[in-house]
Amino acid sequence: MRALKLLERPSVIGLAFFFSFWPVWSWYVARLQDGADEPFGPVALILCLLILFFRYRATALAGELPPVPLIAILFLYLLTAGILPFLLKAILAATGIAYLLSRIFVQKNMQAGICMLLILSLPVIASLQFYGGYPIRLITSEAVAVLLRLSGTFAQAEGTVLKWAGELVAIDAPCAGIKMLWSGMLINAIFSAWWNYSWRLALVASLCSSFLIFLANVFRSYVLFYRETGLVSVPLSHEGVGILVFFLLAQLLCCVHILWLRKIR
Amino acid sequence: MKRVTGYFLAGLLLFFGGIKTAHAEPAACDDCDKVAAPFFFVKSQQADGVESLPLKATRVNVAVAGVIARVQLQQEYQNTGSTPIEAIYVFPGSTRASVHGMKMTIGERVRIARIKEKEQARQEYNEAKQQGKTASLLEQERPNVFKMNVANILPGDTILVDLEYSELLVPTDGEYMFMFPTVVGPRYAGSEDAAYPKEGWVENPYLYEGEQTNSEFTFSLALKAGMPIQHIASSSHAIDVMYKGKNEALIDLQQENQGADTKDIVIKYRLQGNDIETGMLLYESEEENFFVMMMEPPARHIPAQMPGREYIFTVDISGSMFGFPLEVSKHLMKELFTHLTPEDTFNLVLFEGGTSLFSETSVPATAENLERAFAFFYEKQGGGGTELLSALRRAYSIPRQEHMSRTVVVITDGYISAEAQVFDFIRTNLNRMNVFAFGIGSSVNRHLIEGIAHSGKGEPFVITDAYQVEQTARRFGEYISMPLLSSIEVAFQGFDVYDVEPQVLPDLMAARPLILTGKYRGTPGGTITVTGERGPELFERQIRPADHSHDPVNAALPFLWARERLVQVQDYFRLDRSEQRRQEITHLGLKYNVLTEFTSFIAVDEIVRSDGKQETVKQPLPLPEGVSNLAVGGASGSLVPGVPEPSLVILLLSALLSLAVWLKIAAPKRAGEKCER
Repeated sequence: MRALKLLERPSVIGLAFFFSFWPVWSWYVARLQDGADEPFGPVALILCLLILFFRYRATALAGELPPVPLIAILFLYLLTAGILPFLLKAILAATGIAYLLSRIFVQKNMQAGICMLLILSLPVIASLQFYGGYPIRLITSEAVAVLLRLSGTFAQAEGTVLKWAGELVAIDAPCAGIKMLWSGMLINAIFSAWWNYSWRLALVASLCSSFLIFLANVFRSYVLFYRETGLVSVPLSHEGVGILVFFLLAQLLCCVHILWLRKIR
Repeated sequence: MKRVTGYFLAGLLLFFGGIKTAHAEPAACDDCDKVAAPFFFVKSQQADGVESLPLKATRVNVAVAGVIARVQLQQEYQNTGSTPIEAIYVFPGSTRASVHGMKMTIGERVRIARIKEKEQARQEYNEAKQQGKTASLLEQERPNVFKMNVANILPGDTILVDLEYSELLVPTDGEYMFMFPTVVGPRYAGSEDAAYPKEGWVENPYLYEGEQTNSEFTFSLALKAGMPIQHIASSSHAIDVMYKGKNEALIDLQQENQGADTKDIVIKYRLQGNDIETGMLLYESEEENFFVMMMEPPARHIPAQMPGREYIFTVDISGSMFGFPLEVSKHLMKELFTHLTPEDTFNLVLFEGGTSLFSETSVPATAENLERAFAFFYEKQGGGGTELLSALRRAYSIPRQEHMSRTVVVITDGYISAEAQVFDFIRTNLNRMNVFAFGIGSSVNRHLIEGIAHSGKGEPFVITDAYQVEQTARRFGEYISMPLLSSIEVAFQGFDVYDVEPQVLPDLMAARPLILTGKYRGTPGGTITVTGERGPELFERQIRPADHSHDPVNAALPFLWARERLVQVQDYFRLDRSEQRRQEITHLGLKYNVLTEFTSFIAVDEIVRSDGKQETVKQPLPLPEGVSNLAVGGASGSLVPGVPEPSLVILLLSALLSLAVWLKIAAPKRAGEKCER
């Protein structure tokens, strides 16, 4: 009986669930070290734990933890272990841990912010770049062409290339803005976790943030177009333009959350 | 309030510090915030009185004796303007060439160039330039791109610069090919290419499509084959061939070859023979003696004599291969399997952090086994690190069947650890297994793929998109399909040799000959015994060095040996960029008088003829045939950066600081807390 009671403790369930994904964690650690992706995912993980500790430890639950969702996730994992790539398995595991932490600290089945932070802690940047980079660049080049025309510079977008005055200006792979996207969504996720957004509000916040991040990247490419072609003298380096744009974006995202989203939650 | 102010100040510090870091950070190149780019030459925009097209003529004379081609390349620079100029001319070279001589002729005076360490040569050149002395400096920008600088060309001057280089002609499928590259195509260089961090030479003017420089170009090739010549042709230009005997011919470009310098000149010829030919060249200098031994495959193959074939496919399934590269690898494997017959055997080694072996011993390439192998492969997912060395050791440890030619096919994107040890392992085990590499992915680590190819004495294969798979697999299948001789060993008895390259010989493929270069002491004597397995038969051929004599015609052998050694050292240098390798390359260049990336040729005329003031003129290049104006950008570059976004570290710090500030601002005030103004 005592053993059964032990098994019902949230900490025991949590640990058991964690270790059952051992192959995923091995892959995670190896992935951080293989040089093929940015290794800063653990920052999001640490931030998540800090938020839980500083914001929610007072309300941490010492009672029961319904294990059914965890069992369902485990079952799904076992069914798909031979099919799914490691990244998707890791997302499955992150979802389970988000449930665990949400139940323990926030008394919710799944807090959106925690879930987003745990997913951001996974090595997703390379995959985002691979699958989303080209479509984002495509839309960015069209948007930049519009901005240029509004500024009186006639440029035409052809795929990811801008044709201007008989020359070609390409928006190439590093200009997709994926790192800015990740960093901006981190800000979004932290606010969502800190202020305990509902899923609906978190979705609204994420959509707004994504849109603002995209606009910021378009603006960055627009400024860099002028810098590179020499049409306008820009007193900053490439990276300087990117840092400035992101800094302003970060302030804008924070304002949106503090002045609007927080008030409507 | 004070805290908030403090946070904001910290934020501003971070912001400006980040920008300063972005300015100061050297990254992979000194000027990495700019993409170096070519541009168009517009004659009307050139300054009055300045000669804008200083290169008046290029004359190429090639002498092929046996398998060695000696090339004399003469460049004529003239200044028809009224201002002294410095001319800069970027031109291509063959990757097989060893540039070993240069001289400069000013009127009646001839100055022989010396080889010097690159920075020293550059310094000496700059000093001569400032002092008003005519000087020429030849530098290597890339293994196949050279830059000639000629300073203080005074109005009315005609300066001739003669280069000399040699290369070994290696036949493929029985066909010898001599290629003379004529023009460097427009390129862009950003910070991503860590192998070539300083790429200022790419900022070169180009003529518009179809425009010519009006620079004279002549080419002639004198061929002394040493054996009857069967056939001579050119796939690039119309040529005139005059036979001077069974073994000799003179080849010239036909007069109507306009634009001869916009496409590479390719001359091909065939000799005839039925058996594996062996040949030896000897050269004795004051300090060292050199030899080259070449074994060629016969023109016709007798199938019963071919050894059995074993293929071990070693496939990278690490995390970096996840997605497109792994899918293309699977497609490539399918294509490669179609070239196997049930008489062949195969195995599969999948590697990431660890290795997985399909079968303890290689199995026949039957349909059933191939299906099982596919199933084994498809089960695996991309993940973990990449330990290629472990995988090669595992492949090596698979029990070897007798009389079988073993070929290891490595399929990877090249992002592996311990790369230099991979080359060492391949080199020392060449007689036990041939190694070929396929690079898969849109940004393959070409250093590794080419290094494996050099180490394995083969060709690199790179696939950057799914559409190249079938053609590349077919080309590869034909390349490796006919191992003629395996387990080749060379024994030197009574012939004191050292510094032999390669130290271990790979199998003799029908497509390529085996070449051995090295040094020897004393008088050539004794015997060289070449043994191997030809199917079930043992093969043996003996060569007596005493039957071959030192020939002054072979004076290029030291340079060719040096080139072989340099290729090997440069492969390692491109990986680790260590000071030791750099010094080794420099030492080889200085000792053997050859141009390398760290040694340059410099010639200085000691007569001061001007005050050193001059205009620098870059000789505009014609666009290669088939390349359009779109390949060249505008005045200041036509690529919005190949420069990445700011580093994630700076973005993260920026985000966290902003969060800290705003969360503090938004935090509810404690009761009784005064609000400071």
